[in-house]
Amino acid sequence: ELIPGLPFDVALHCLVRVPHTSHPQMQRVCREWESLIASPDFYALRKKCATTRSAIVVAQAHKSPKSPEEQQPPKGALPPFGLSLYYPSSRSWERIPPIPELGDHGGIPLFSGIAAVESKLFIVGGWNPSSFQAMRSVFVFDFSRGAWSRGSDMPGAARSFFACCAVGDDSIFVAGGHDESKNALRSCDRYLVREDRWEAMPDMTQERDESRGIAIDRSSQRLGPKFGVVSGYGSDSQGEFSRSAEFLDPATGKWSRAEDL
Amino acid sequence: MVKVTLKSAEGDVFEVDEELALESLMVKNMIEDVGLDSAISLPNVSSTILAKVIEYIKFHMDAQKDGSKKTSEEIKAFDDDFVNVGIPTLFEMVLASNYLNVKSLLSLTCNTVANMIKTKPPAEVKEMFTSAKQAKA
Repeated sequence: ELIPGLPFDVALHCLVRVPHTSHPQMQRVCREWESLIASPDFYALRKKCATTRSAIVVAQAHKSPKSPEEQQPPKGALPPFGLSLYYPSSRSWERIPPIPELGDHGGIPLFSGIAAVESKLFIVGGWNPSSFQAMRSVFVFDFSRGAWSRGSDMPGAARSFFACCAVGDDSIFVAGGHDESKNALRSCDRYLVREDRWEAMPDMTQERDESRGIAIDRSSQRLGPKFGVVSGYGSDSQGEFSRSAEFLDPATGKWSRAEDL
Repeated sequence: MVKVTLKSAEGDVFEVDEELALESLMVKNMIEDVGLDSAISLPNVSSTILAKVIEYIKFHMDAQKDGSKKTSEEIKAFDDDFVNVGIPTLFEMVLASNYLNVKSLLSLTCNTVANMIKTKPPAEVKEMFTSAKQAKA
């Protein structure tokens, strides 16, 4: 019984109407609500009932709201970066709390990949904001809990300036960038969100440092989505951005190229 | 105007316009199945709640009619007042609108329950629902 006195499915219809900002609180009411709200089925039902809200996530410098003198960061220091949320439906802004693990310098890793899948936000890799070391970390913000947790680390070399994008409703892809020795990379990995597991994908046809990741929706053709990696450059051609892109079909594991963009 | 007779759990009889009765998809299906000759029995809905449901449908039908002078503020005020009841009554209205399949009233009452949950800390939410159950028992 989700709510005493109401049948299960009627109670469910009441609970899906509570905005997600109250979900962390709701999970503390009882164990039944806790497991319900954390479940993918609950998200799917909210989606179906159109009670989910779309938001735009922006990574930006979060200055502290202290006195004007204190607002200036020390010379040469970076201001802390954080995530802001914009809800187009209510035209309102909100901030996502900083990642506790990153300490007071806080915020989020620099140059990280940001991807959203269902009600979770993923901060993939990036540089530690204090040490400027490239990280293989995956930080997960779960909107239903209102809290951060860790996902499985990215495999292989710690990438910097890589392509990253959520593809479909269960995966995040990363590709290219460069390793700790500044070698541009051809490799590609897929993160399976529900299983919290990485798997290696076939290499791209060329190295692509500082490339951009995109998702190609092919649902109108009744086909699964593709992961696209646009431009970038190789180790031997620093900064000479390629006019090509390539696209991975996860179903076949084959890359296809597009030239002369 | 064709009339439909509805019979509540207590056996009280409510005579309403057919147009109004058809707003309940459940009653609409019953009329299609058994016709209008006999009273439609609603053993799951008490007289008090049935009267409220009829009042709700009537207000919204009038408000939608051409020449209605009701503003959206007045409609909202009516709705707010309509669900400004104790939890036991609110739950009975949720159950009745679910049973009678009146979509707009189901969504109004479910939203009201959702709003109660939204604004309260966890302990109060728990307290609210358990004491409502005890009050009923």
